[in-house]
Amino acid sequence: MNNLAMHRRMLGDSLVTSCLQTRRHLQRYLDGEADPALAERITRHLDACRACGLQAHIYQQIKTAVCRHATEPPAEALERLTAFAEALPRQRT
Amino acid sequence: MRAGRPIRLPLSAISHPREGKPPPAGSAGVAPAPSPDSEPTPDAAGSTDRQARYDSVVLPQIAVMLRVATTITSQPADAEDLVQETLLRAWRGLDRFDGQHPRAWLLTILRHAEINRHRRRRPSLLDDPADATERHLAPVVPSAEQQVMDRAFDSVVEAALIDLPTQLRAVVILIDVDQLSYAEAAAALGVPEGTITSRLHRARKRIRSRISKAGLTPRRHP
Ligand SMILES: [Zn+2]
Repeated sequence: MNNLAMHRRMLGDSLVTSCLQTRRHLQRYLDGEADPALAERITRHLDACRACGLQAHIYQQIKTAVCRHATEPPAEALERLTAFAEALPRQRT
Repeated sequence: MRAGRPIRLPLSAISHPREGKPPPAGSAGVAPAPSPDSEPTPDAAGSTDRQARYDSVVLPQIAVMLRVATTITSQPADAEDLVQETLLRAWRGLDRFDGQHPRAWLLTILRHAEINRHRRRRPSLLDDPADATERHLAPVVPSAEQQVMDRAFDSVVEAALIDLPTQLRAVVILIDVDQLSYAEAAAALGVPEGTITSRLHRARKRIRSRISKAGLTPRRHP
């Protein structure tokens, strides 16, 4: 009996979502786009299921690596644009 | 060193609306910044309200708009022009904004402005990879060994990202680098939210398979 089956027995099926469901919604979950009930079920599943947990971990690492590409836009450009936006309403258009 | 190179996105990543729709009026050229010391408009109440509404809706989103514009244009100067054009259009269209989801509203305007800009003067779609190597990010520094692993992992992810079809790469950048929600990314690219989900899924799956092929699958409990 695997971890998930044991987990299911402990918690009852209704509280635990399947591997299939978890993988279907994993990206949404990692991106913070899952609704709270789904997120809760997936969190439980990831804690209980080693295979899905590992997969989630890899995807999280990928997200973090992609995130390192982030470059802040130049501060001067941001200042110029803010000044432009603030001045716009005063223009008589 | 390859890590930290910004990934640029050709314009073809943006889906264009149906042909035949005329471009919005007044979109030729980018207006110069109006003088900031002009006096407030005399027709007080209405225009002051409008101004306050513009400030509260638009100003907090400028940084995000600039990031997204940088992702979808190839040049920082183009990105700034595009945001300026978007700010102008947002001011003109403010009365049509329903108050819901300001960021998605602004990104939709930005996308339309970009499509229009693209029609006016056609920049080369393929940008020069040489000048993309100029910018680097300061590396995050944990242990030396971990650092080597991270660098290897990062460069595989980066290579995989570059090899992705443009449409898939666009979504990954908008979500993970520009930190948009699915709905906002859908607005920025002009596609349904379901398309964002499925592209993201496919893109990350491809990146993951490159990671495992490189033998870099991270262990969960080091
Ligand atoms: Zn599972």
